[in-house]
Formats: sequence, structure tokens, C-alpha cells
Amino acid sequence: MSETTTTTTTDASAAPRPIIQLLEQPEAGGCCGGGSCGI
Amino acid sequence: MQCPWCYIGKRKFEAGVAASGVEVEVEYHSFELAPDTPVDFAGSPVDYLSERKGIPVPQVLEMLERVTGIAESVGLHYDYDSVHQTNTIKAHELLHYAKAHGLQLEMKESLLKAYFVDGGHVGRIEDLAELAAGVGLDRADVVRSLTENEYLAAVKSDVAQAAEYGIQGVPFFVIDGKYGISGAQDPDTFAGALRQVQGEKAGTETVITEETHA
Repeated sequence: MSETTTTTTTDASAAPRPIIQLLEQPEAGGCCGGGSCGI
Repeated sequence: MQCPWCYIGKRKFEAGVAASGVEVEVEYHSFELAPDTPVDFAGSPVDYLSERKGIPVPQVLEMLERVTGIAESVGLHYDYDSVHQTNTIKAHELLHYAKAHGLQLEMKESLLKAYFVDGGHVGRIEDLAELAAGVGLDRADVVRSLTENEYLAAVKSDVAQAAEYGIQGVPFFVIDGKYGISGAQDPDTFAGALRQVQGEKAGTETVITEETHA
């Protein structure tokens, strides 16, 4: 009888990170479709 | 296409690019704000925002007056009394068609002007084909492309990409695929960001800016 063990390792460098880094910026007009953010 | 801040943001971005002295290549990508809007929505933006979004009419009127004033400050003469609220999926498809034919920037400007300034309809294929012909595209081939949904998958792909980026509103500017600027920022903000990004690159390489819009 054999037993198979699956081990999952986590690579810290592969941790989720934002795809887009927001540059420093003030609030500005935009649309989100909900109406509440200025249309 | 129907977000008033996108046209204002476009003007401010263009001013920022000019002020920065950075060589920039621009691509437009699609973002859907209200995909459930019928092409022949029988009403104005005031009706749409009050009836569909539940915003009280006085508040809608105040919002439109404010944004019209800001548009005026960047040289855009919005005419909300003549605007045709519609579904813009075909207009987004047309922008992808125009991109494939090297005329995306011209098409984008034409669509925005038609919608906000000239009272044009940017939801119906025949109207879109007329605008396309105006920037030098083949009218009959545009009708064919839009009828066949040739670029619908490309629009949906953009929408999925925006979600992956975490974009929740427009305009949204992605610089070199890694930096984001949200909203219709002032030209100085765009110019500063472009200089910062170029400073991180060797020499005077072109900075690629992708503008996500609705």
C-alpha cells in the first residue's frame, strides 16, 4: 500500500500584489456607473 | 463615451503631455459603465440618472451644471439638452476597428464631440458609420464590422483587463502597463507622472499610455 503526499509551498515573492501601482495624485472627477461618484 | 469626465480628462491629459515634453503613445481601452442601457433609451441623461440610478432630479441637474462648467474651462462646450443617452457597446467596437485601421485617436475625439457637443447618436450602427466615414474610415466596411460584432470580443477583453487591474471608474490612465492615474486630473499631475515614468526609463524612450474610458 502506498501513500501519496502532496505538499504545497508558498513563495513569498509570488504573493499577490497590485498589478497597477497608483502614482501619487489628488482626488479628481470620474465616473463609476453608480451615479454617486459624480455620474 | 458617456462619462463627461473622460472628455475633460482627455483634454487635461493632452495638456499635461504637451507640458511634460515627454513623447507619448496613446491607446484607448474600453470600460462599460452601464451595459444594460438600451440603444434607443427614450430619455435624457437627466431621466437616466434620476430614473435608473435613483438620484433626485435637482441633484442630477446640479451635477450636470457643475461638470458642464468644468468642461467649459477646458474649452469643451457640453450641450446636455441635446445629448442622446444610449448603449455604447457598438461605439467601443468601432474604436477597436479604428485602432486596427490606425485612426483610433481621431475616432475617439469624433465620438466624444458627437455625444457631448453636437447631439449625435453614438449607439446606432448607421450613425456610427457616418462618424467613422468622417474620420476617413470605410463606411460600408464599418457597417459590416459592427453588424458582425467583429470587435465585441476585444471590448470584452478590455473590460476583463480593467477588472484585473482593479479599475473601478474612468477615466483611468495606465502608463507603461504598470502605473495608474485615476480621474480627470489636472495637467500638472499628468505631466509630473509622465516625467517620473520617463525618468525611470533609459534615455528618451516613448512612454505608452493606455487610457481606459467609458
